[in-house]
Amino acid sequence: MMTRAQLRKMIIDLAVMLVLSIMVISLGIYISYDKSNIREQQRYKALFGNVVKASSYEELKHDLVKETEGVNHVYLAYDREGRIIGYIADISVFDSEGRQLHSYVGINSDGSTIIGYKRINDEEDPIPLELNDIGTLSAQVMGKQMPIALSKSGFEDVDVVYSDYNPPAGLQDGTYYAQSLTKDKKGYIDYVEIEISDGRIKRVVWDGINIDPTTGSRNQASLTGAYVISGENWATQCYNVCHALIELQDVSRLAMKSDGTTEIIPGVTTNISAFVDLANECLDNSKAGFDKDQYLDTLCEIITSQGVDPESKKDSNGFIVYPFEDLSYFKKVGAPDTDLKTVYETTLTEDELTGQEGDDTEVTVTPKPASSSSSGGEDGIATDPYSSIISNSIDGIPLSEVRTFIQGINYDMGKSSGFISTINTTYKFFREYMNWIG
Amino acid sequence: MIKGHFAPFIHSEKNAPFIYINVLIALIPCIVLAVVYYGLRALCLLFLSQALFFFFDYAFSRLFRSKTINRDYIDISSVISGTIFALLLPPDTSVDVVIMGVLFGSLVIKQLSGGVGTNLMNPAIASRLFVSIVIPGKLSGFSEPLDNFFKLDTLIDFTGRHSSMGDTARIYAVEVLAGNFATFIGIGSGIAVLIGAFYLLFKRIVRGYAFFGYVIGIILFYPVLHITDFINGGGFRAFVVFFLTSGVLFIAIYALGDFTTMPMNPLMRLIASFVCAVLTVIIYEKVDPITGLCAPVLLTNIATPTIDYYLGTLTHKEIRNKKAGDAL
Repeated sequence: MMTRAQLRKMIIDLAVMLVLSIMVISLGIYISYDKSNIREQQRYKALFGNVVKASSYEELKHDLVKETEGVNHVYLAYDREGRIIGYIADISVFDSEGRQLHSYVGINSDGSTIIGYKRINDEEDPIPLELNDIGTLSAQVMGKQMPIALSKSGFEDVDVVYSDYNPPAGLQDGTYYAQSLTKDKKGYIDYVEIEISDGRIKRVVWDGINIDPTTGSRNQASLTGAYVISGENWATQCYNVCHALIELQDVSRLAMKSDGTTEIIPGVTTNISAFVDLANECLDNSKAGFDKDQYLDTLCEIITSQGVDPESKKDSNGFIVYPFEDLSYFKKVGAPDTDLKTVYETTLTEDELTGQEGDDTEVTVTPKPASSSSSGGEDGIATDPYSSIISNSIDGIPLSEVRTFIQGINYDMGKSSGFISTINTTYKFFREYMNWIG
Repeated sequence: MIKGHFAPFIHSEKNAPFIYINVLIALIPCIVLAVVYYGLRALCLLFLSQALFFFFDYAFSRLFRSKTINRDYIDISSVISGTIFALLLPPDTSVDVVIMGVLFGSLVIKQLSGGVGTNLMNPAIASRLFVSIVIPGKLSGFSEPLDNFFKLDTLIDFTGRHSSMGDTARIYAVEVLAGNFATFIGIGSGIAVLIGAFYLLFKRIVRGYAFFGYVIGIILFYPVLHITDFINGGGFRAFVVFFLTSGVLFIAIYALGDFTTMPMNPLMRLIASFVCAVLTVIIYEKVDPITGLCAPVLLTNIATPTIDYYLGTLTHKEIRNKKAGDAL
């Protein structure tokens, strides 16, 4: 048993240790507090710097974070003046087999648009997605509004837009395509792809493929900083131009000035003349029922006539990366605007094509029937805007709320669903949070 | 008070309750650190772990060894085991982890091997390694210190929180000293552990063979294993950070200072601790931190009976029984 003296001594020891501990720990906190803040910011910058670049970050303390399933943390990103420039959501989603995808999603300051994405790669049982897959998926949503859904078929850049404008008369339903026959100064070959449904422009893609196969598309390069233009990045400007065409339904309404720029599309300062030319070509092709497959077949045949195997010029996505060095033969066949349809409609001799004298072998390009064609509606109402979408809701979000449709990884829902759920989980949080803050 | 017990009776100021209460006093800096940095949830984890360890030990003894135990003896070592176990947990640990760990430590490690003073392995260390192996997904919730004092929801978040430990390569020297970075709730500050260690050494509660054997082992062997880091620069900083923040000091004083599970012979205690340190340095960076700290201790514990047997060293219990037999 303990004596009274021992007990007294122990109580004194206890008190001394308690006081000493509090003093030492208080001193430790006092001298390390500033350093902890600096270190914390350094840690945040290392984690989020390539998701949302900001001057400082702070974790959002809000009950909604805990209440929203799949949301681990949410961080605020500030500029130097202390203004919120975006958010970073730390999201974990699980697929039906219990595999996890853990990501950071960067969102702009109004909580609507995706501005960054990073996979954490710390999952115990990860959803199998290669680095390339992540790059492909994130490039498709960058600068786009949430929520997102997978399109059954279509394009990288798909938006549902309701328009009050009438489209040009005579557009036939289908997918139409045109690409520049020459490369630009940086080696990019522009292409535009337009889908017509019910006689209206429903989807538009504009991008450029570089002749250097190691360089990504212009869209991707602009997001990684490899392709820089003044003002907003090219991907954002491109998105705005495509969006404007879907809304205005006619290329002439883009009001391109003589210097190739336009003042009617907010945030667009780049030269859109290539887009306007190619979009006009697509619409002309639509009126003539000259669809994408026919266009590409024709292009292949012309390239073949140049003594080049077109298959060797196709990139991994099937784009024909072949810049014509000399367009004189197009002019010879009466196509001064290098419109491929005009070439397609003309029967040429080989020496006419090559501009050289030779045998009289004829190269005849036979028109193929358009795969589908129907007269477009002209009532200004978009009917069945979701006809090419797989399901009526996604991640518990009705399709009427979906703002962006993506092609995912080869339209494969199995491969893309984790990523889509990640974005939509982020959307669900911000939908509530933005309502909460008014 | 002494009715029903065998003679002879030895009066010593440093009896078991005295020693254990002093160990608890020595743990106060770590406990204060845990509560100040991680708030009420750390306090709850500590209290729950202590209370459960005490309850299970007491209940098991009363139920299954009521004829052989000393009913007047209160086993404060259970409270210490509970404290050490809790201090080795991440701050965002749920209560089910504590219950599972304490059940294993108290019933399997301690009571099934005969109860207080006869356990083969350190119950707190074995419990901690056990939960780390069985439910690792629930032991990765490392909040930043001073995050939210009143946060309690992690205690009932049975799915497990996931946030990384602080990156010791990035922390500042003052944070190393203060333990002000995300780590286990009570072992991050080498200074806090050293205050407790000096208290125990100064009061002669522990002799220091194990503590110094382990510390010397770390100091000598770490540079050997990281010689290239020392040559290339940065090795010394990494060593200081490891020494003060990894928990090796905590293990040296509170796990290897245990009388029951370490060799009785002072020299062998020194050597065993040194070997334990060498094993720790070798495996620490190859496994998770808790396995790196706890597995060598348990291996040393397992080797202890063999060491004692070959050295002919008797345990306190054996000495007591022998003296009782001689007297009769």
